[in-house]
Amino acid sequence: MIKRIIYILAAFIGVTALSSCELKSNVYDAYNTSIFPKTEEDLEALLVGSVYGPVRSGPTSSADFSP
Amino acid sequence: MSNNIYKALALTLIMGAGYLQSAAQVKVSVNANNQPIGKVLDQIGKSSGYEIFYVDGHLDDLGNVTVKATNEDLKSVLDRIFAGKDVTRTIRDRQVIITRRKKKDKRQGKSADRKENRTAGAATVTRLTGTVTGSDGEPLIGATVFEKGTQNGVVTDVDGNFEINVHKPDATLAVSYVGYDGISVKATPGKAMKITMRENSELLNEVVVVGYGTMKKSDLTGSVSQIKIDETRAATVSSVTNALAGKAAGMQVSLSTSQPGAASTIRIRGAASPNTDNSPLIVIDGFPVNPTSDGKTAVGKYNSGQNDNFLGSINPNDIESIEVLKDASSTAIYGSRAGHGVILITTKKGKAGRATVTYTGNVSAQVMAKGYDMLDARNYMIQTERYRMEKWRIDNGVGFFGGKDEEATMQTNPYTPKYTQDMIANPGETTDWFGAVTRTGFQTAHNLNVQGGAENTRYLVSGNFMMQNGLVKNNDMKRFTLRSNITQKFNEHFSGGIYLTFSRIDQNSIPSGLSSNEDSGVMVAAASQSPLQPIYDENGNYTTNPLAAYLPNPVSMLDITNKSRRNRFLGSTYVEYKPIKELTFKLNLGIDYNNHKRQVYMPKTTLYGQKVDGQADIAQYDQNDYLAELTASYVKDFSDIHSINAVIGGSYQKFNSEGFTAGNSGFLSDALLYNNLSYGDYAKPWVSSSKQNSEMASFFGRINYSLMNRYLLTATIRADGSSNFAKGHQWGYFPSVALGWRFSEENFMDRARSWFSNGKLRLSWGQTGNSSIGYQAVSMYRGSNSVGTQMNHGFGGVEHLGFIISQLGNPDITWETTTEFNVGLDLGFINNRINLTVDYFNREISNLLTWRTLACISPVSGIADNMGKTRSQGLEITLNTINIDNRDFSWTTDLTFSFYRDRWKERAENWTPSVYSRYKGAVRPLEGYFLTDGLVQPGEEIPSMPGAIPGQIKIRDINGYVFNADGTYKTDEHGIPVLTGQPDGKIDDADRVYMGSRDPGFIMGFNNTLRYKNFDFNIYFYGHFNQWTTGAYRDLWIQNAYIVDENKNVPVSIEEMWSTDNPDGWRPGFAQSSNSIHMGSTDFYLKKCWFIRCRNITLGYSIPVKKGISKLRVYADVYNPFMLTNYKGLDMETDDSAYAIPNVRSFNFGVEISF
Repeated sequence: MIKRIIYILAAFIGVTALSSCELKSNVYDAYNTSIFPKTEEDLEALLVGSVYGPVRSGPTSSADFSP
Repeated sequence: MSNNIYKALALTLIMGAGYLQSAAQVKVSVNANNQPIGKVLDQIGKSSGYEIFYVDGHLDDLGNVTVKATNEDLKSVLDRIFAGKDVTRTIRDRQVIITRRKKKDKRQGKSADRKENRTAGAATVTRLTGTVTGSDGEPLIGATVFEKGTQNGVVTDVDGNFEINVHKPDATLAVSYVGYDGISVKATPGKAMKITMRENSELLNEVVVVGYGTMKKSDLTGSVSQIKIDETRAATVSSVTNALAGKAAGMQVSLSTSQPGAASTIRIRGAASPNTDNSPLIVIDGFPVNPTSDGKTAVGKYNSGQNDNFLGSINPNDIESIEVLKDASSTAIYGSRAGHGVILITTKKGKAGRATVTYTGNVSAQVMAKGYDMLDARNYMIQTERYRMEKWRIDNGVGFFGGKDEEATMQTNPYTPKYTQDMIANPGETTDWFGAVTRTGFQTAHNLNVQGGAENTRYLVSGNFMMQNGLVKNNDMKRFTLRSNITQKFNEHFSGGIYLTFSRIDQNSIPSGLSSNEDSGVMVAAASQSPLQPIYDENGNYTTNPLAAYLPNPVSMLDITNKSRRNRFLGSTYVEYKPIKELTFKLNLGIDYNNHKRQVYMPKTTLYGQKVDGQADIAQYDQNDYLAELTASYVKDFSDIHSINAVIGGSYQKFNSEGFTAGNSGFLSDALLYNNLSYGDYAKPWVSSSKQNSEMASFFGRINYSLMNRYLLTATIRADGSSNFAKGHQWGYFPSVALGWRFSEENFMDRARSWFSNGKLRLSWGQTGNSSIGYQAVSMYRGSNSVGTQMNHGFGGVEHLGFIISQLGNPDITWETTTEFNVGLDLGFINNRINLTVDYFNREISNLLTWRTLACISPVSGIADNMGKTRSQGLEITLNTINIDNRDFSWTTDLTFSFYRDRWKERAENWTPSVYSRYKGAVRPLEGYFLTDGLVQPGEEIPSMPGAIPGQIKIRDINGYVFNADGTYKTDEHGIPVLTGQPDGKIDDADRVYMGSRDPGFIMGFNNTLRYKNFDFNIYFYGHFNQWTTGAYRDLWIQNAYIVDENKNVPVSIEEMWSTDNPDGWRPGFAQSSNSIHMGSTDFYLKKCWFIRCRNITLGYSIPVKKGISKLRVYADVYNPFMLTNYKGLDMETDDSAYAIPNVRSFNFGVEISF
């Protein structure tokens, strides 16, 4: 029985230790490094999208073209 | 517990459905070879799961028994054992009651068939019959009834009935039962006796719920208060928090408003975290729950009030007990979230025995305890004329204000009255604005509870419906709760349980708050409108005030639709595994799901709705918290000398939340309310959404060691990791250690044992934490679709969406740490009929989570940081007494006393003090006030107040600045300007002073419960003392008395204002409001106040009932019947609240019935 309890205790400690893996908060409703931008490419995309986005916006369907 | 009874408790081994089986179907296995019958019955009990009752000694003469059975019927095994013996066996409801047959019973020595007072030989035999029940009316099965002074005894049957032949007609019966106080009763021959036993209070209190387990109360080393919810008359309160004020020393429960569903603020040992939430952690059946936030669904123009009742989703009737953990030794097991105490709520569980059904219901009517005393139409005209005339005098320098002759001035610059004497004589009807928006409140609650089970399976299912119509019209709530608690013992090693609670709260809210003018809530608007103004005009439309068109018509505000629905599901399930008796592994999984939706529509009939052509808003917020816990606990006593109670475990919680809001205005019609936002024509309807998640992981351990039941040690450690902090700062470690000494168990106390029953000294030290500042470790960038925000930028003449930094991250931020020392003394006298507990604590909170102010050029005003330290000290006293306790009459008293002081110990580095600041001042200071010396009298010259006019508050010149050589202010080491301590001939900030703390000086609770036969009576008081109040509505609402000339009403206290025609008036005159120093900045109306509120008076009567009904009680209860106070406002508790709706007085009638 003692051996059995030791095994169970070892398993118990193992299981509880699993929960000590990395803890992470995520805020999805604001730009922050936990989600975006994480890389230089992300930063570039953010900059381009923000500054040049209005320039790029144009007709998106044939109905928008005048004859 | 009497030595005369064995209670052979037979537990377990039958699968859950087994309890439904009849005795004939129950199989038992037993193997006994010439063993005492008691041991054999013990085996049978364990094998069958049945409880077996018999009187000690009654079976001794039957000798030893040999029996062997494998999976045999219980009944047949018992038949075999008792074959040919004069023994009666009753099997019912998983209980076996064994009695000797009455004929020729050796102990009674008399025939059971004899009738009352029949003589047999020389002895007179009297036959007595009766029933033994508990205080709840439930029959007690297996209670022993003895003729006192003899060995003559019987046990009660399954209905609690007994029949005994006694030797004397005036015999005394001694009745005992496990877990109940023994009782002696005089025989009443010829009349069925009804014997009611009371649960053994010592035993009940013996076990106290602590974090992740229970402990014997005698083993406690920390400061824990236990509240039994039945003491609080759960049935009559809409929320359990309403019934807790004053119940536990050290816990302050403040009611902020009486609106339906409103929350109370709970503080344990003060509130010394200046910038974070000071609420205690609330744990419901082991699940640490988080509050939702009204702020997440705060939409629409007006304040919806405070109705995020954190505990509102819990039916008060479902609560078994509440434990308040106060010191760090008790709370450290909850680590990082326990810095402000822990409240453990334990809900009721099923009890073994036959099923019982309990219904409780009540109805109540509610009225305003005290209403606003405003001017009626005639007085309004009179006071308006007083103001206008005085203003004319001031403007023209007449009389006291310049010396001009009034008659002469009247000739040159005549005064024109607004209201003539004729108008004043015939003022017309006064508009009762409060009457138009309020009503008699109504509340009804109905609760049905079914519980029962056996030793293996126990269940409790309850449903509750509560409906409350508040004092203000259109302000109401409905609550539905459904709760199911099921526990199951699967076999010798495994057991489990599932606890489920679902609640739904529907509310209709009204514009609330103490804001004024266009932002007025209903009550403030009702107080402000002129009594001369009708509610409707001749066309049936709402009127507006022509001189204050910004002020909403209060009745029109009732047209606003503000609906909210909260669904909350709290579910947890656990499995326990016991490899050996002393060791238990427990896996606990749970979810706390919250969904809150609010829909608001402001129609065109309202002032604001008309301005925007109707406005609709919808908000929804979901919060899901998940919990997984694994614990191992070990409990063992070693030879009655050493006792260990230990637990270790790990916990993981994940918190998810998401929400959205949307709104539009410019609707063609009010008909659709908020049901189609696209029908509005606002250029850019507002939308927003949010989503976040975070995690927390913990490891904890606690050991309680008791040596000889005298020397106690508790050591706790918890490691908490929070994702809200950056790596390297995520983990906090919270240790505690406590020592206890039960000196009453020492030999040197033997002489005092007759009157001194308990004495324990407790010492504890520990640390806990706080992380409730959100995710501040990283920077955030946010945008907005709202037109014209600073985030957006112009490009090609068109505004485009942009982003700015909205939060500056601080990767170094970490836990706020509370370090607490506690010393406590528990004393019990006269067999614990008098119990006294005294605790002193010293709590220091360091690394305070706060905001570091940044330079104003930054788009972000501050950054979260750990700075500063506060210190709280306090004293708590609890006194419980059993004043009278006999069969027909009992009286118990509970008294609580709490005193605490929250002070700064170290200020934040960037603290910028005012001249009146104290470095170690109160955490919630009352400061910056000028001291006053009455009113300026006619002809009085005050050098420091040049130009002061009669009736103005006379401000004391008490101080001046000390200057450096360069002309700058001289400051001390904390940056506080140094003062001369002498008048300097002028009134400036140097004359402002620090008054003290805003917190109450001390808090008390006083509870008395009396029972006389079937009547019960409870009266309960609590009070706050020595607390600064900054002025009641009578004081503050007249400080701008000129508003009477803007068709706005004021309190009748305006009559007491000083004026030329009222030179004895003690309140500041009409000129005060135009003075640069506002009345609110002086101590003129500051006052130390106190109140003693009679929280309730309850009278109940338990109606004697017949078979089939075990309890029938009716009661009447008055909530808040009266209050003693020196405060001149409505109510010290609710007046200062930003959500104030005056406190209510309610009259309740209810019934409790059990089957």
